[in-house]
Amino acid sequence: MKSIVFSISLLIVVGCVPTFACGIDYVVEPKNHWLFFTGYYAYNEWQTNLNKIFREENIAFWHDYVGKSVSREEVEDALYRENFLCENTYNEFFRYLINKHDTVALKYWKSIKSNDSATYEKVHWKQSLWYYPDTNNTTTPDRQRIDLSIIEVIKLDAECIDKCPDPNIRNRYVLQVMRKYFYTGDNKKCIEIWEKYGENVPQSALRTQCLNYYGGALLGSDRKADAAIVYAEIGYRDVDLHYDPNILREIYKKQPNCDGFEFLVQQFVNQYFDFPLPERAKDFNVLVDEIIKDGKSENPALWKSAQAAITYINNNTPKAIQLLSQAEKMRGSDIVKENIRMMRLIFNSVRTDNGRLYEETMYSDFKWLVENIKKDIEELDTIPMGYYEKYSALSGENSSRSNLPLHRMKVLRRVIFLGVVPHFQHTGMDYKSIAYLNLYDEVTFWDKQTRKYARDGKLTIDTAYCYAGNCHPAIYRGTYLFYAYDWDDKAAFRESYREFPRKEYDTHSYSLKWNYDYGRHLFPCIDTAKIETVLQYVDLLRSGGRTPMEKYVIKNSYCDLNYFYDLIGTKYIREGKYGTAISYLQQVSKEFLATQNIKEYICKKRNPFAEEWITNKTQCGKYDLTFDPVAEYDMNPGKLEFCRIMKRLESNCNTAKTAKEKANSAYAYAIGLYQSMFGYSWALTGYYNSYWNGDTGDPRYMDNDKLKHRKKVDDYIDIAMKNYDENLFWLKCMIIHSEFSIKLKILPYFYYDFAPEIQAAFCDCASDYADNIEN
Amino acid sequence: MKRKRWITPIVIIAVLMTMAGCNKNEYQLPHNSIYYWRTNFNLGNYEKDFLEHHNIERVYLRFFDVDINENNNFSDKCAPVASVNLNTSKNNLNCIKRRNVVPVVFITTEAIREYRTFIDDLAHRLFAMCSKHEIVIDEVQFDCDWTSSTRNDYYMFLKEERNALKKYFEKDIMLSSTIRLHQLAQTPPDVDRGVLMCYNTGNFKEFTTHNSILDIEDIKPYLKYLKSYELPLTLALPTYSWYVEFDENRDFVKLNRTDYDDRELKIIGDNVYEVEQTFQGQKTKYVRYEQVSSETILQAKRLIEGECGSLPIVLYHLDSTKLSKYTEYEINSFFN
Repeated sequence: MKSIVFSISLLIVVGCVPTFACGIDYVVEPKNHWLFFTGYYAYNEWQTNLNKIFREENIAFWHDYVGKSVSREEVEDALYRENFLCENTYNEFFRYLINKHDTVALKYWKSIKSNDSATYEKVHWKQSLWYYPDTNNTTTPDRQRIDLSIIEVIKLDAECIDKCPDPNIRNRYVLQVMRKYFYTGDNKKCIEIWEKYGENVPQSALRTQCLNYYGGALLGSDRKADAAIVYAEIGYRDVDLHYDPNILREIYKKQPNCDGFEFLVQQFVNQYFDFPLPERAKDFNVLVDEIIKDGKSENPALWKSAQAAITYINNNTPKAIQLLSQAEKMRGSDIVKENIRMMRLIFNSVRTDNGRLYEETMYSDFKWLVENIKKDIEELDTIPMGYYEKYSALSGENSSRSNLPLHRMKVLRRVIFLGVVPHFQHTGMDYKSIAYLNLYDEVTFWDKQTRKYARDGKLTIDTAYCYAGNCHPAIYRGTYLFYAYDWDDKAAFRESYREFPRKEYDTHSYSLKWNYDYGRHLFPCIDTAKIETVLQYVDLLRSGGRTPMEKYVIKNSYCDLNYFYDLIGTKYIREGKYGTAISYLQQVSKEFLATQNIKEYICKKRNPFAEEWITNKTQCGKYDLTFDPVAEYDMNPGKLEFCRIMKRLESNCNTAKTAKEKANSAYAYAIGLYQSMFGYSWALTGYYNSYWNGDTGDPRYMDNDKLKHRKKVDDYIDIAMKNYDENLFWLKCMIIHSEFSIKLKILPYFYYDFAPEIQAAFCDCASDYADNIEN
Repeated sequence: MKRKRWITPIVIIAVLMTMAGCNKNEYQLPHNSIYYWRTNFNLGNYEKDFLEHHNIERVYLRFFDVDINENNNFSDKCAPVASVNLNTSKNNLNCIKRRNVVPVVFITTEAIREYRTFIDDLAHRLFAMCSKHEIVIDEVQFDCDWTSSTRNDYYMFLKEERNALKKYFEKDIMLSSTIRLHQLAQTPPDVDRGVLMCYNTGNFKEFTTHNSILDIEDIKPYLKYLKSYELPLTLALPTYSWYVEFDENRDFVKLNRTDYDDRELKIIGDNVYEVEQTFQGQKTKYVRYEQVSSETILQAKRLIEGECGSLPIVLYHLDSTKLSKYTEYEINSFFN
């Protein structure tokens, strides 16, 4: 118990830095925490989110108090930065009070500021990295002195409240007096103050602060049930009180319809989700049965649905569905009824016994959920928020500026990532998983303005950065995906889904237009999925859907066929099927290509037919091995032109009239293949956010086919060498071989039986080459 | 009567000798001591038995290191890092509480330059740690690889820290300091005792070093300072081992304190091995296994004690995996 009290008081003490007047956090309405499945987010929002709300409320109050005669900044300075209040203060807020002879406010602030200086030293220690939490009875002489000084200095007591003529300032005295007593361990007086004056404190952040001390004092007096009720009212979650069926029973005996039950019961379930203790579940089930039998609760659906949730957590979904059906038939508040509907959707999404009815069973609840989320987002769009804050909110994080029930998005995430996607993966219908991921991305895609910018290609990294305030740009490079969704690993088609994208960014690329359609969930899945899967999905898209669910999902998805045709074409390039690739790529508009993140990498400078490695070496002046790359590519660089050229070269290898022509075609083909698969023209086969093997630097989609592609390059080089017996040409061919071989750490000339003069020439060349590599 | 005359001078001499002895033993040291340097304080059965069996009366327990703070959320210029986790079973703690516990604080050379910023905090933290875990102490040890450029800072730190400790503990706390071999050439710090570190004598980062933990040749140049060194010393002997890892260019990669599986190693030199490449991107190509034989430890001990007489011994450090490589006889011979 001591440790709980101490922990709470510690949080409070830390929370009240830098000034005594600042105060601890405020919380949103408890109803917004209503969700059974918030397990992942059950920590610390209470502390971190809302301190600023009280701060803002406090500043606004005093700003209004002086009739906005001084700037808001001066008020803020006075409240949170000025350590003293003296007659010759330069602070305009305090000067205003002095000039107006506002003795009531001045008395209040003098008292508060003097307390600040007394408490600073104690608080300072706890804010330091040197702090080592000690037990209550081992305070140092210095700290004992500080504690005494607080009691001596803080002259606040009930008399201050009674004597204060201004009701608003009086309420502030209530907080400070409670704080003093709590701070100095006088729980009894702290409780007395609230019970005497608390009734008049209106709903506000101030009231929440008072209740927080009240709850702490109750807890310190071992009145656990009472403390739990208070904490439920303010939504404070970081105490173990909620994970105790006996406390719930005690509360029920006192107040069968306690307002706090909705909060307390969900907290119990959340705690069970995080730390499942079977005996707690057993006790809880007994309690629920007692309550239902007792019949005094006006919200029995709450208890029954909680029982269903616990059964679900225990992996007994059929029984959970059964219990939920019973809960649906019981009386329950609106929020409980809504929650039951969401639970039903989640339960159904993980069912394995529904067969063809799987989607049909979910349809109405799914549609209802998504439509509600769309409304939430529209409402969210009207709230001024930073970019990242909004993104967090859309990811299901609670937001201090919004009273929206954003937990709906969390439910959708669970339905899709832990239910639907694994279901379709297991049933061999990957393309349906893609459909739902597309919907998820589309429905929860930022605010409309950002989406519009993104689709128009107007959203640059800089813009995103401005939106985001001071967040690190890495967040906007696709990696945020993993930050925000680090738990949904079941959604991956391949392990690569979990990998970070390649990191070789240059500073230049920070100014690239950034297309967010190549991030989030849809892209990594279709980038790593089989071609057949994507083709099946595109067929589904084009059909508009066969069942009501499919139609609804497609209606709410990103359906630009340019996007999908480009991706399918690219997948065919990866397989070396250039003819088939052309049939898709020629359907992709130039306007669309201009919005891609890889746009700047598909350019003349990265001509896939250029011997980039030889160019590098000639710069060292070692040897002159010039080669005219296929000029057509320079005219119109892009995947489509690349495929056309590769197709022609492939055909030339068979139809060329002269051996030299055949050799040149095979050589150019090998270079094109090499550069697009392994070289600096990677953007012809990959995307900026494709997943790259950190060890080899090769794209992950190549992992299985790497040897096949390498062999193909070798084969074409061999064709070239067989058809053109010229030293320089042979040397160049050998350099390509060595490009591979150096990676393999095998010198190529071990494998070839050359004419002596060629071998000699090659050895010179290879050793120079090796020197260059080393240098 | 004659007899009585004969006894009196003997009694006087005996009393004088006792007084002289007392004076000399103002800072009494138990004979057998050991360091505990791990971050999690957890004693296995071997370690508990070791403490009992070898009559270890003093445990030098590393509490934390002090380094420059890189956590921007806090304004502290320096901060404690890698604090020992003492939240362990009472049985474990009692095992060392029965002995003399000496908190040890390692301070980096970067941090010691900023010592003024943490004098009070350090004392306060030591007090808080001792209070919380009910550890009674009489001595604190500081470990710092000071050189001539940081010597003044370190010495000033020791002076001021002594006062700060007195403030918090409300009694005089004795100070000891580690003394590295190269520091023997300098004026000793103003502490009550030094612990001469007879290890880390070589540069472990060099591939060509044979054994960086202890090489007799490395200590010989410093022996000459011992006779005139104006600080009572305890001798710290190394009973640890490690693998020093190098890449294919024979550049240092890291120190590895856990043992390799013999099957992964192919011997290519006296104590140098080639490591089997078990995964792509594996940096380590060669490892040098360093352990000091009991003969070398005893030789070093003899050399040092030959210069300044018998010294109390402290072993570095209490770790069953390392200590178990020595026989009981060998451990006893280190202490005796």
